[in-house]
Amino acid sequence: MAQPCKRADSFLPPPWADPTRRRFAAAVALGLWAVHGPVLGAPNALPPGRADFPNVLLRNQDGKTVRFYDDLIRGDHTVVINFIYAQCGDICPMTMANLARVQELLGDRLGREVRLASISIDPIHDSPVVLKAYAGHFGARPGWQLLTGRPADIDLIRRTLGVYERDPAKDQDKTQHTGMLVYGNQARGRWSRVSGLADPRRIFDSITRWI
Amino acid sequence: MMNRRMLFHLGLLGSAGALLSWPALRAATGRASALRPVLTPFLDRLPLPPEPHALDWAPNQLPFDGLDPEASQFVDPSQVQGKATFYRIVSEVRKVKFHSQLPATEIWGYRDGNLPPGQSWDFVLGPTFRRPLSNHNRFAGTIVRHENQLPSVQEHRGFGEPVTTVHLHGAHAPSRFDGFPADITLPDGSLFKPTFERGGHFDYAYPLLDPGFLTDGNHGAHVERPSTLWYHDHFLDFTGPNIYRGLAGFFLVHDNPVPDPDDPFRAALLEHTRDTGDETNAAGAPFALQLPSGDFDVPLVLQEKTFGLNGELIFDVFNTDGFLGEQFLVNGMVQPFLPVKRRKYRFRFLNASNARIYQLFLADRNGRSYPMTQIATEGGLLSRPVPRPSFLLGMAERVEVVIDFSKFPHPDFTELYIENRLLQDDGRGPDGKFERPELAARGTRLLKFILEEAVPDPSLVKAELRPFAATTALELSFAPVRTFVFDRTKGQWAINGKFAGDLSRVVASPRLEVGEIWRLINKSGGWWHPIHVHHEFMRVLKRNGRLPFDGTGRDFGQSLERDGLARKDTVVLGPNSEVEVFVRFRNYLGPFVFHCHNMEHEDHAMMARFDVV
Repeated sequence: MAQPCKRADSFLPPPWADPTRRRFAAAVALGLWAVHGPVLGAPNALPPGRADFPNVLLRNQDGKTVRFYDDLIRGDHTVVINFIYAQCGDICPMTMANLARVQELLGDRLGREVRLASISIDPIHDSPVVLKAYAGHFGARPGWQLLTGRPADIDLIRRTLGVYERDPAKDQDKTQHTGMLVYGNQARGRWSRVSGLADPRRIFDSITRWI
Repeated sequence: MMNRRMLFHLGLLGSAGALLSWPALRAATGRASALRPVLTPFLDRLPLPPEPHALDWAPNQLPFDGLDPEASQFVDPSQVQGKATFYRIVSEVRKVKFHSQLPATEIWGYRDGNLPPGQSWDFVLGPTFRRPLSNHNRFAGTIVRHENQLPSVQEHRGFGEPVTTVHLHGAHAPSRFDGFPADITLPDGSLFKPTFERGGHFDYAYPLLDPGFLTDGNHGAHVERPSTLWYHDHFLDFTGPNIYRGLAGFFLVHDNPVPDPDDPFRAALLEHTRDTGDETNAAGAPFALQLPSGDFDVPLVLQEKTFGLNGELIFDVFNTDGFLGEQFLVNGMVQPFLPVKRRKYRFRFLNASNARIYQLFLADRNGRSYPMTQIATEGGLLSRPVPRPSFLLGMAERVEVVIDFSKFPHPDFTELYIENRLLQDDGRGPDGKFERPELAARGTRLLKFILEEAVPDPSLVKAELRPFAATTALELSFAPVRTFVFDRTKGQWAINGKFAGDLSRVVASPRLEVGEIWRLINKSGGWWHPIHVHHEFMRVLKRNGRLPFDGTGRDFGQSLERDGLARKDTVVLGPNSEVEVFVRFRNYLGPFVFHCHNMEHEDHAMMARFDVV
C-alpha cells in the first residue's frame, strides 16, 4: 500500500503561517480593491475599445487639446506610444532619434496610417512650449505629437497600457521608465510592443504590419 | 462592499478556500464584461487527441505537390532507401468545449488534415504524433505539411496574429524546419521566409536522427534521444497569444524496435533500443525497458485560460509581466478527470502555460501526498528513475513520471489528484526561490484520477533507464565560454544589456560540433525566466556555483538536471540565479534562437538569435 510522503517532504507549513488563511485574507483584500480600485486594464473578451482606454485630455506641442481615446486611439490606424521627458538623459534622446528615422521610413503614411505619440511622464515641467522645442530638435512632422497633461491622467494611461512597474519605488523612478513602444490598432483589437531602441527597420516593420 | 451574502449568491461559500480566488470575487464587482463563469471541477473526462493519419503514397508519387526542396533531401521518391511518412496539419478556427458548463469557444487549433470523411476534430489540442526514431536512415523521417487556414491578417480582430511558423520543441532538426520566428535575410544574401499566412503552407522535415549521426564515427549519440516533444506556433512577438488561442500539440517519439535489415551499423543500435513504446516488448528487443505504453502512456499538458460568460477566450494584451489565466486546464479541458486501472501509468507532463510555474503533487482527497517516480525530462529518459515527493514544472519543461495505482488498494483509495501547490500571484513568477519555492498546504487540484479495477500489468520500471556519461573535464577544458545575462531595465527585457530583440542580429556564432559552456544569468530579484535553447539539449553543470540537483539529498521538488542524469532544453532561472550549461550544436548549420519561455517575456524581446557556423 502506498505510504504518504513524510511530513518533511510534504512541506506542511509551520503553524504560524496558515497559507489558506493568508490566501483568504489576500482574496478579501483584493476583493475590496476590486470594489474601489480601477477596473482598467482588466482582460477583456472583445478587442480593446472605448471602455478600456481613458478618454483623458492631453495637450500637444502646439497647445491643442487631444483626447486620448477619441483623437489618438480610435479608428483603423496604428498608434505608436512612447513615454519621454525633456530632461531625460539617455534613453529618451536615443529613442526619439530612432523615431525620427522611423518617421522618415513612414513618409506620407505618418499621421494617416500611423500616428506617433510621445507622452511626457514629467508633465509639470514639460509644457507645450518645452515639448515644441523638444519636437523641433527631432524634426517631428505633423502626425507625431508630443503630449502633456495632468500627472494623474498620464499615470492612468500608463496603467491602462501596462507600462508600469509593480514595485512602487521603481515605478516613480523616472530614469527607469519604459523604453518600449506600445503600438496597436484599436479597430482590429491588436496590440504589441517593440523596443524603442530596436533597428528603425524592425520598428517600421512592426508598426506597419496591419496596413 | 463585498459581504458574505454576495459570496453565497455567487455559489462560492460552499466551495471553500480553494475556489475562492480573487478573479471569482471580481466577478461580483466589475462591469458586465468582467463577469466570469464559475465552473465545477471534475465534470469532464480528460481529452486525449489521437494520432494524425499518415498519407499513404506509392513509389514516385509524392503526396504533396511542390515539396520544399530542402525537405526533399530527406525523401527518397523511389522508396528504395526508405519511406518517409507524410502528414498534413491544418491550422484553423473551430469551436470546442473547454468545460461542459461553458458554451463552445472559438479557438485557433491544429487539425489532422487527413481525417477520414465524416470525422471532425473537436479537440483544442492538435493531434498527438507518436513517431519512431529513424535509426540511421535519413529517408525514414517524418514530413509534415502545415497549412494556414486561419483568417487573414486583414480579417482578424482581437489578440494574436494569424501568421504562423511551427516549432517542434525539443527536436534536433535543420534550421529551415525549426520554426524560426521571423523572415530574415541569411548571411549568403538569400531571403529565408519561414512564416506563412492564410492560404500558405510550409513543409517541415523531421529526420528524427540521433544528434551527430554520420559525423562522430559512432553514427549518432544514441543516448541523446528525446521522448516528449511538442509543436507550437512561434511567430515573433505573438507566440503567447497564438498558443493561448490553441496552436499546440504533442509529438512523442520512441526508439524504433525494428532496425533496418540493410543497416550495416544495426548492431550498434541494439543496446540503445530501450524506449520502444511497447510494454509487452513483442519485438523482443533485448534492452527494451517495457515502460507503460498504449492506453497507459498519457501525455498531459497544463495550461491556463480565462473565459467570459459566453465561453469566449479572454487575454490581456497589455500585460507583459506574464499572463495568468483564471481556470486550470489539462489537455484543453478545465480540471478534468481520468478513470485509471490499478496498475502502472506513464504520465508525460508539459507546462504550456504562458507564465504559470507549477509544483505538482500526487495527493489523496485529504491532501496527503505520495511519491511519484520520475523517469524523464525534456531531454528524454533519465539515467535512472528517481522517486519524487513533488516536482517543479516551469514553462515548456517536461517531466515524465510513472505512477503505480496498484499501490492504492480498494476501498481505502477511490480517487487521487494532481495538485499544484506553488504560490504565484502574478506573471513575474512564483513566491520563494528556485531551490525552495513557497508552497500552499493545499493547492489547486488540476486532474482527478478515478481508480478502477486492478488489471494485469506487464510494464516495468527498471533500475537503469538510458544511462549516459557526464561531459568530461577534458571536453569542458576546451569549451569556449559565453555569458548571457537576462535582465530587465528601463521597463524592457534585455539580454546582455541589448534591448532590440532583433532577429536580424546574431548574438553568437557557435561552431558546428564544438561544445561550449553557456552561463545563463538572471540578476533580478523577483523575476523568473525559463530559458529555452533551440536545436540541442543542454547539460547542466552548475547552478549558483553548486552541482545541480540529482535526486539525492533533500528533495524540495526542484528540477532534476545534473549532467549524467538528465538533459534539458529549458532551464529555469529563478530570481538571482546563475546556471552553467554545456551545449554542442551538431549536424545542422544556420540560424536558431534562444529565449525566455515566459511567453510574454519572449514576445517582448527576451529572445536572441544564434547562428551555428
